[in-house]
Amino acid sequence: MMETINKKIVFCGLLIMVLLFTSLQPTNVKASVPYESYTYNFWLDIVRSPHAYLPDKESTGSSMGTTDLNAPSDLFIADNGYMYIADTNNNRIVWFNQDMEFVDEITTFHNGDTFNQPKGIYVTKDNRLFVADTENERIIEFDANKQFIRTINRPETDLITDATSFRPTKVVVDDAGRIYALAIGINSGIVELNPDGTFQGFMGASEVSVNPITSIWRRYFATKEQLARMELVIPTEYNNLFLDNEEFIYVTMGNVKVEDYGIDVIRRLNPTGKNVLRDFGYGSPVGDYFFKTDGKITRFNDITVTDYKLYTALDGANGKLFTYDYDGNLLYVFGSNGDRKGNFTNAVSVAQYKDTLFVLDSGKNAIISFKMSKYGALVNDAVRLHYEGKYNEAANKWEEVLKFNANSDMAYIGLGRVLLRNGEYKKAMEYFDLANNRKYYSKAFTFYRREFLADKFGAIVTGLIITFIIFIFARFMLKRYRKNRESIRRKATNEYLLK
Amino acid sequence: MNTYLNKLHYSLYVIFHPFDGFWDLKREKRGSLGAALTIMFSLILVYILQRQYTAFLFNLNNLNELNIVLEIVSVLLPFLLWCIANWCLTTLADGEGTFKDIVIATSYALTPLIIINTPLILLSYLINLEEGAFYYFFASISILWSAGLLVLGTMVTHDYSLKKTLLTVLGILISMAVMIFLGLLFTSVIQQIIGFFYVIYKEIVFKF
Repeated sequence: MMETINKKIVFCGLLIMVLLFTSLQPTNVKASVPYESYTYNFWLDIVRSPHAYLPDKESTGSSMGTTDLNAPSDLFIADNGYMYIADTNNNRIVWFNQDMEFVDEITTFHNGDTFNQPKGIYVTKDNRLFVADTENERIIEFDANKQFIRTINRPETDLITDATSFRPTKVVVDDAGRIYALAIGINSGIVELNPDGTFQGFMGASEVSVNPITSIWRRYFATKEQLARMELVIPTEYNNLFLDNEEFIYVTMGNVKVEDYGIDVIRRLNPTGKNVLRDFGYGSPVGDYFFKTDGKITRFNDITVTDYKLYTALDGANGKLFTYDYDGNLLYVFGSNGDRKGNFTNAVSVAQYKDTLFVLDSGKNAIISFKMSKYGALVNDAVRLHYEGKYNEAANKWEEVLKFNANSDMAYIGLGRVLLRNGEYKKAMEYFDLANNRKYYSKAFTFYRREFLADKFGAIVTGLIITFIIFIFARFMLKRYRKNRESIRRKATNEYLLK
Repeated sequence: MNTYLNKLHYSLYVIFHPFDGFWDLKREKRGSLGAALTIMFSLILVYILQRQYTAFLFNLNNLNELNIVLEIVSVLLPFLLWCIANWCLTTLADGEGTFKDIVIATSYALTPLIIINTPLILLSYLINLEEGAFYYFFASISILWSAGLLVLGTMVTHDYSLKKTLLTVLGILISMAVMIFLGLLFTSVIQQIIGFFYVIYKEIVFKF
């Protein structure tokens, strides 16, 4: 008896020691990600998804080997991976390499000239630098050796009234050397300048939205005093632009009124200024889908686009990043405002280089980098392969995606489209059903129905003929039965009467 | 039993010959409350079946959130509101129909919804989106037909002129809206009152 108790004690002691020992072993603990990742389904409900990007580094100026950034406003990554930053309140342009090391900066140029609050930076393919020197009301060009070339002053045109200053905030330059700039207070669209800096015109002005009642009230009933106190009806200004590899310009709008929620806040402008952004997702690419009463709508302030037209837009107000594919399908949303590593306080600019996404935070005065997760890489690869027309390879990726996330509607659609192409209509229908995609379901269904009818044509016709014959026969029998009954009854009546 | 079936079967006559049909429905007692309730019950059934079992292509409901009680209410509530509003107005404007007559006429007028929508559920499995025009065409036919019958039913049951009927129908629709408004107001006030007493109760509980 005593012995067994002793044995038990010894056994328990051993067990506890083993447990303690294993718990002391360094386990592979990952820091929790300080935000939620999600997407939206057909009913525009939030569906949680795996993280597509994981926070990697938070680099401040001093950690990168220079003075700290001071309220920077723009981040641009050149083709060689150098990150150029418009360090607004330090009045300088500074750039770092991919290892987050300081490379060089421009503070003075052209015999001691300086910037005054530069808010925009653009680097061309041949490494020329364009700086939107906002408060000096000019755009400045530097050559590949960072030597001053020229200043481009306020364009001379009657279309910008003398009262409005020309304070450029963002600038891009296309391969032909045409300069596109956004400026504070100019709401007629993007200012387009010829390569020599002369004014060419405005491009892609956003429209004004007025409801009819307000418009009638304004025009016929409001007194002068009332009109003076009323809000002006002016189009929303664009707040950022991005030139994609086909030289189409993506623009974002952030300062939209809550009543106007739902207008195109991301646009892809073709050379004539028309919005050609594809919008075939469950909802339009406007960020989060909120009720109008909830004032916290998405306010985009920057966008970055890959070569396969997958674009990530930054919602600075809520600290979120929204990624859409070429067709406007929302792929994933991640990011959050906060103080933890990987959170934003005032995110102002986003750029990407290879598998890393960089967000410039003017509150933290830091560059926050995000590494693509395995899940994110699979999704992006699938979208890229699909864009390139490699449907079968894309399907393999989508299948992998499903292993991470069984709720990925995009994966079901992607797989369904490949099945449809390969003639497996029944299976394709199942996938489109899962993803609630009626357009493709209908296509698959049409093929399936045709195949079904062709297969079963004999059986169906035979069935119809047999049913028809049975029907005729039954009617005939019924008639005869009724006739019989009638005659029997008549006979009976006659007999009764005869009696 | 036979008379019940006959009275139910009479609905098929009513929908094709509304003037005669509704006249005899009331004056010749060709319809019955039992048959009318049967029609309403089948309408509810068809509506639920349609919401649940229409083919994927034409079924835009979130099937995970389908609530059978809500579905029943969404058929019964408008029906009852219509009947009550109809009765309230026509009693004042010397209509001849009793409440029972109104319920019977209204139910019989809804027959097209049943006989068209039932085969439509089956049809939805056979057609694709491009052929959906047929589906929506028949669906709208059923609604228009029933709406027309509702108007004619009111007219014949109360022996009104067409102009008076149309005015009455307008009045019915307005009073339905008023009733819904009052209902919402009432529930919200009751909620406020309950909330108020609950807060008082809580305060007392926390105090002692």
